[in-house]
Amino acid sequence: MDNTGSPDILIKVSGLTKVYGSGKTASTVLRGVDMLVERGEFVSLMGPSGSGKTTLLSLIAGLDVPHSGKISLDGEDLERLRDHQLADMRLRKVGFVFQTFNLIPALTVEENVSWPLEFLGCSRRDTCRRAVDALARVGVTGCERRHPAELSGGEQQRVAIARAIATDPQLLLADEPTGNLDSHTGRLILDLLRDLNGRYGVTVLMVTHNAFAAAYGHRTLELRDGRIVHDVRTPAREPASFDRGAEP
Amino acid sequence: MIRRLLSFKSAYKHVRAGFGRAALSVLAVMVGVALVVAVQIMNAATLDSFLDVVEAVGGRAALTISAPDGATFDEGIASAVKQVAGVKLAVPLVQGVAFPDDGSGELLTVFGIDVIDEPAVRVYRMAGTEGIIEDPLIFLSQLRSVVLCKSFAERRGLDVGSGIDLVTPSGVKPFTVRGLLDEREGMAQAFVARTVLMDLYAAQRNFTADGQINRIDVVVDGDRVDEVKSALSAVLPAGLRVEEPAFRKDLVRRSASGLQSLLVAFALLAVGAGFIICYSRLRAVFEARTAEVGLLRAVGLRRSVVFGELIKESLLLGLLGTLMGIPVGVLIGRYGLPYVATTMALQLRLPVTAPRFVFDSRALLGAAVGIIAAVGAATVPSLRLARTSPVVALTMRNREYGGSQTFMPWGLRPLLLVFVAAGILWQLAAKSPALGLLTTALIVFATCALAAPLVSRWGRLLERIWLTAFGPAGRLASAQLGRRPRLSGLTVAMIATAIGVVFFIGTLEWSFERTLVSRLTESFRAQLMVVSSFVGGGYRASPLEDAIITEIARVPGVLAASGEQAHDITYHEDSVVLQSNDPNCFADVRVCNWPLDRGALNDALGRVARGEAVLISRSVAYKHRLRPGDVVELTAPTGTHQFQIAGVAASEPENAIEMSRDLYRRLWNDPYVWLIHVAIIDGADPSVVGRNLTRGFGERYRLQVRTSAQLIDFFSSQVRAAFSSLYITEAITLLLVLIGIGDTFASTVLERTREIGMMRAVGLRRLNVFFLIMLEGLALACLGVVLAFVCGLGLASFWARLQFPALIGWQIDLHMPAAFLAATGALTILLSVSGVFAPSLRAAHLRVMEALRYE
Repeated sequence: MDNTGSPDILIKVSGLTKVYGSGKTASTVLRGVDMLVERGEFVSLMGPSGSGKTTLLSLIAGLDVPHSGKISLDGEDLERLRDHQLADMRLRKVGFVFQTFNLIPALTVEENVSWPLEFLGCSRRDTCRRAVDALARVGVTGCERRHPAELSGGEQQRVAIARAIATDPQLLLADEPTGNLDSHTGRLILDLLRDLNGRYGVTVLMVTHNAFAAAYGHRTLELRDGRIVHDVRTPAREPASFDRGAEP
Repeated sequence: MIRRLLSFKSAYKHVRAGFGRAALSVLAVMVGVALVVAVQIMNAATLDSFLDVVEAVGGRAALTISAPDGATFDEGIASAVKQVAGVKLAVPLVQGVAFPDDGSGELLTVFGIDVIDEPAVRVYRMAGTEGIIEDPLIFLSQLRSVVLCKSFAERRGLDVGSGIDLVTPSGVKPFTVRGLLDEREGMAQAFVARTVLMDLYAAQRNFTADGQINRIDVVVDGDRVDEVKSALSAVLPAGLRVEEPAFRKDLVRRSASGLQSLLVAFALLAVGAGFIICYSRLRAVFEARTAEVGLLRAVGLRRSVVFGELIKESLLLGLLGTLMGIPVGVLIGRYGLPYVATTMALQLRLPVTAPRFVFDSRALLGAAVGIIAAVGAATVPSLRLARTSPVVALTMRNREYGGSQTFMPWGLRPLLLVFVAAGILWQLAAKSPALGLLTTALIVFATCALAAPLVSRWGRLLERIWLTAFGPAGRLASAQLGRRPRLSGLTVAMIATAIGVVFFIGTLEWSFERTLVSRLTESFRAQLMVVSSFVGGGYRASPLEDAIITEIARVPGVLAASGEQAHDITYHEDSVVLQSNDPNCFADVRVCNWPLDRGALNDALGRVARGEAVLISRSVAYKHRLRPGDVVELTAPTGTHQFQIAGVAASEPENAIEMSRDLYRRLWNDPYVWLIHVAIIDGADPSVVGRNLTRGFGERYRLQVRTSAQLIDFFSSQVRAAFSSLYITEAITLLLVLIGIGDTFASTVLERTREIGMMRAVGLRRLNVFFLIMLEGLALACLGVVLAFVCGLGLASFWARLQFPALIGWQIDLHMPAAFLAATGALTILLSVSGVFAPSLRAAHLRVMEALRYE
């Protein structure tokens, strides 16, 4: 059954190709990728280095332009959007979590979370409330006035997640969110992502090269040489069982 | 080991690879070096030209007899000098100024010479003096005979036998050319072909009182100079002095040193700004290599080797900047030379010369300064990087390096402010130009030191303002700055220093001009002023014989005419203007107004008018701690005289002593005036009286009749001319700001590439990023301008009240040039925003994915 026009579909990718360079130096990173992500899903995107995971993520976020193929996000064809419309779309609908946290060192924790809200046009009071709320959701309280350099890696990543969810996005794109963390902290972050997905219904698309981390998702897509070679639905498991699995 | 120490191979490779990032350091060094070289060239060439004049006039004489400060004395002294044992020749000389009556305004220095003995003391022609004057007998017998310079004569189609009209203090006189001088050698060369020779007697008739001369040059037998000098001192009347030629040169050097120090100070301030730019740039360049250095240290490289290699890189950059700066400085020096010569001529009150462009070792000081600045700027970042532990360095990749640190320990700031306060207080007591310059440097340094706290503390206030004015981009921009006080502080310090200097110069010039205008407006009461059409030296018009005053007083509509003469004298090793006015200037308020400070003696002005006392200006009172009732002792050609001080003249801006001209004329043998105040009868039309005066005397004396307002305007224009050479400095300073802020933001964008990439990924538009960087630049420029305002006005206030009186003797009131300050502030902000434009555009157009991967 074709359900691509369904309102439950958040991301639709079809025939996506991405080529870097030209002529003899051309390198094809994505070769006709097709995928669908439903609202409320937690999808893990796995694959070895150079398989095109991050490229696919950046194309979905509208940060780069595909060579061919189409991407639709929340029913909007990204191809038709201009640069500033893409930026607005990211600000309103997409939250980004990076491997290296990418917090602004000069700003406090609260300011790091609140600045996207200010660009969204929220009032000062609303900005403050939503930032504090986002920080509470990720379990960071009492260090709003501190600077990123004063926090541990895990805390920094939580703040980065708070920044990503503060705008109440429909989609959370996470690019190796546990890559810079120790196994215990990594697990906590993965738990947090799953919690956000389960409790608040945020769709999560997470890039990882770690099978354990990928198992947190409802579905795992495996990318190899620019193609999706596996699309596996993860069996439902109790969170406690992850503690006994391989480390992220 | 030594080979490695001397090898620049690795340093060269790094400089070449990262030249783009370090290019602005090179540019900053270049500008600093160029300015120092230019100032050195201009100072040296101008001083040399004035010294050449002194040397040419001094000639071969071993000793010179003169009255103090160029006054005249009786020619009979020469006969007495000839009688002294050891004196071979005593050659009298009269010196004056005249102008060709052709409207060119060309100032000619006239020498009245003793034709027989003159060749023994001064050089006119290397091959001998014979042949210069075609017929010496006619030259001596015809009083209107002159010798001109060849090029001067050729320009006017004159030859031997031709007639020429010259404007002299006693009116326009016809002369006949009796000989021509080659200006490629001797006296004519020093005076740039503006020399006129005439017989001593003829010159006395036209340029001094009867029987008066300006100097006697003494040729001594063998090497008995000291013996003859002692003998002459014993026979000469009090008031006359015997000097060796070197003394006069020293005097010119001392007089010029004030302005020259000023120019050097401005050049060094520019070097300081260049140093800050260089420091900021090299810090960014070196810190970007922290991880690389960590790796090198991890594989076994010593700290000293790392430090040495970084210093070598800065040395190469400094050398390159210096090599580029020298030719630029030479160019600036060549084109700026006439301006500096004009300014110095105004200050020394000497005729403007055309200095020859000379490039010698003195200009190489700029090279040394450039290299020292570059290496000095690299020392702290190099040391910091070399001392960073390899483990920390290896983990520094993608992290702010000591972002919260400031570039100066906090404890030093209060200490610096204490030093500034101590310097000001000390200067208040010492009145020393050198101490004033040191305090100036301390004020500038304190400004730099205050930049980081200003950014840090005022940043919060700015955040609110920027949020209200520019929305979230404004708040984010200001927050970024406030939390990076080191980098932001350096930029603010650079703007504050550079623009502070511009504000300072502008305020000083304006204060000078307004003080002059306000005080002269208060002092001048006569409606009309009569002066020669020609400028004799500095801002003063050429002298006129005082017989004209009586004639002017007889013109219908004239109530009173009052002559004024000004003569520079030395009082306690200080240059003071001895100003003399006719008695009616002190007695009649319709001619002049003399507001006096409190404490004046009873009937002070009456006493001055009668020649019983003198007035002093505030500057003289301040510098020499004098007050009414005290006595000043002055040396005139007629001896040493004591004068009681009757009061302090509040309206006199110069370092001056005022006395009655009757007294002055008698004691200083000077029958000339440079300005005549003309008060008109109530109800008479000033323009009609002015026309009558012009008709009556204009032709004969080439006079100008101006209203007092016009004369004050003329003086104002002279002040502007005196400051004109500093406009170059201002332009270069603004260029430095443009380079500096562009440089800072180019490196900021580079350092924050990932951060910018993240912001774009989160959802900021290109335009948001563009404005974010632009607003950071705008915020820094605004903070810089605020601090520059404080620094500039602080410096101007210090100079107006303490340093200017100590340096050149003028005490001026502080006036704020509101329009200038606003325009310069706006221009600075505009330039800063222009400098940030390209980095902002670059930031806005970063490719997000590449930016996120940037290391």
